[in-house]
Amino acid sequence: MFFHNFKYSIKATLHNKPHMLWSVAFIIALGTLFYVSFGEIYSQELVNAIKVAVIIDDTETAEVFHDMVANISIDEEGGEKLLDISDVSHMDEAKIMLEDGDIDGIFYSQDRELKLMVHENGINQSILASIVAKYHQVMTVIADLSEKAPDKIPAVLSELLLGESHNVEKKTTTGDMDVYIAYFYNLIALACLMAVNSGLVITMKNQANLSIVGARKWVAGAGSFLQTLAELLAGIVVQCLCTLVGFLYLVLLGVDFGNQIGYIALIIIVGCVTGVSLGFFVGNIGKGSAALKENIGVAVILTSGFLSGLMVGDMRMMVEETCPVINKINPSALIADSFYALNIYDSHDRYYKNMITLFIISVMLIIAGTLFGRRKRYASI
Amino acid sequence: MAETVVKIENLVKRYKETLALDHFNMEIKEGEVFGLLGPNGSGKTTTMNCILSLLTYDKGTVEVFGKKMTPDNLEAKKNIGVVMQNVAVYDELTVYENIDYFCGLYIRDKELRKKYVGEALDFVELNEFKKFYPKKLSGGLLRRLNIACGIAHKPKLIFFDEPTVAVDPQSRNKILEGILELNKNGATIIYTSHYMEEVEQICTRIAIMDKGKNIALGTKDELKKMIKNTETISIESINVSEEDKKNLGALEHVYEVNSDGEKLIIKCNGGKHNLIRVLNYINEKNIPCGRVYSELPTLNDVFLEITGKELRDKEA
Repeated sequence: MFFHNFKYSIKATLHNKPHMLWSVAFIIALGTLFYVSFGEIYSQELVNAIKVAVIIDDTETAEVFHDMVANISIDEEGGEKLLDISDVSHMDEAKIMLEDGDIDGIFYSQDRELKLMVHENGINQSILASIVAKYHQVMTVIADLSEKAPDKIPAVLSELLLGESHNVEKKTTTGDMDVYIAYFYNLIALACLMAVNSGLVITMKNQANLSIVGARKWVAGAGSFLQTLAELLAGIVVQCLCTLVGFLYLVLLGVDFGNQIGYIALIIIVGCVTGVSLGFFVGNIGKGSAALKENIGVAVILTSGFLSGLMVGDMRMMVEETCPVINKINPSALIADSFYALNIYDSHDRYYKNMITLFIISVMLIIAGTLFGRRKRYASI
Repeated sequence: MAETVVKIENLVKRYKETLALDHFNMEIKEGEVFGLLGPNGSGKTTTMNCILSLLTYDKGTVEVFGKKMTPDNLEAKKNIGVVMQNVAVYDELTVYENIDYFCGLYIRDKELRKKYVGEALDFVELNEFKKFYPKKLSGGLLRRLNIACGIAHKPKLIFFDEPTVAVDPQSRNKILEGILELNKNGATIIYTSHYMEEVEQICTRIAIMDKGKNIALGTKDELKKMIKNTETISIESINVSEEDKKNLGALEHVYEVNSDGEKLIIKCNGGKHNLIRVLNYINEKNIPCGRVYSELPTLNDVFLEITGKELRDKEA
């Protein structure tokens, strides 16, 4: 009986095209959108140095400027740097390159002052403007020191030009601090919670007041715990497959999930179990209409996601400060925190604790849902 | 003596202010094809759902197979089949899979189930469509699938809730023949409908319902004997004077004469040669007339006489 129900539930779910399409398309569509958006930021940050021309006739200005940008310019050995100085020596030639978009700006001198010429506004141009600002800051310091303490000029100049910092970065973890990957983690967490819909569908196909199929099954005396479990398991399997397909798509797209893919897969599985269980529970409470229960399901997903910070980044911290118990039982917060723990900590203690908590919540929701929904009688259907 | 399969006593069911079943009583014996006949909203489906323990009720008792019917009475449920008014199948499963799935809720043995599913497919003649998905089936074929899903497990008691609604005449006849065959094979049938012709055709005993009450119960002949009318004579395209009407009304066994200008309707109670007497009078008076019909009373006449209204709204 268990296998009979499981087999046909799997078949029915797989043939439910709108449900399947939504389950897979959600993560693929949003994942692609994220990737395109963040990919642009990555490429600007990590790959393309800003191409500039430097046409400085004044020797003193040229010397200070070249010392200042030496650390952030691409040298002969290559490497990732901020500036890529073009080999141009004439202003006219540089202006043509600027207009053609071959370079983003021209550093030039006028009246012994460093100036910047740009053709349009953008992130690159803002960065170039900040270099000019820094140059003026350095020159002001030199001017001050030449009057007050000329002997300290070489030491201060060296420090300013090399851009040395007295702040020391001390890492408490070797984890990946990439802020953008967190968006993909949150996306997967939301996809897991979407499994609420799967749980709701299972309930609706079992309740006489929510579907005609439910009435037929009710009359047949269906609804034993094993039958319910078979249908839930089928829902979970299909939902996990959909989410894992979405996750695989993100991996193929080039999103770097690091070397913890097995752990991420486990979060997806446990997350889907929780999502389906939550939907099953919501569907079994009370005798409301299908539309009402669907609306409650959406509200549960959105509220849970909102409180966990899937929409507003700092929300989970705010909840932690005001009512920490919510974070301890909110499925979305636990899924997001599992990703966070995986992302940040070297130890998996917190990760496993979250997984166990989610599993216990799922079991409780299934038991409660079964008790609420078992052999109901209706005042009207 | 046949055993009682369903027994309802004093059943009262309210939907808020509406009284859906008003102290309803009914007893159905094994082997019967029992018809629940009544207009829409008379309480037929509510009665069925109360028997199945799907609906709560305010008062009364329902027994099935000699035991009180409750949601946990799985022994009774195992022997009940239901053919819902609306088609209750999975759109995502094929014809074969649907029958197998629902049969599997009752029959665990895989081989036996396979046999039963095959027999159900043969019974509703859907073998050539067994790999079709429900969306690809016509309305009539869908109804047959709906029936197959309800009867595949060979139940002893089968509920048919208006199974022929929106079905073409050919499919309707097949469904009715199938129901009789199921009954011949030993199943007790409870058939709800507002089509009096169907109920007359297949039911051995009939309960006529109105406003949640059982207003008449018996075989179709017993029901017809409850009313005064035994024959209705209709004559088309006839113009009769008031004097002729009076004279016709004075004929033996005639108790009512009505005319709407196009048709003369004469109602008789008893007697064997009413039509001849009426036609002789028209012939004697040389009254021109069109077609002539003589009809025996229908269940609609029974309903009309008891409640003062038509059993079924006039169809367009």
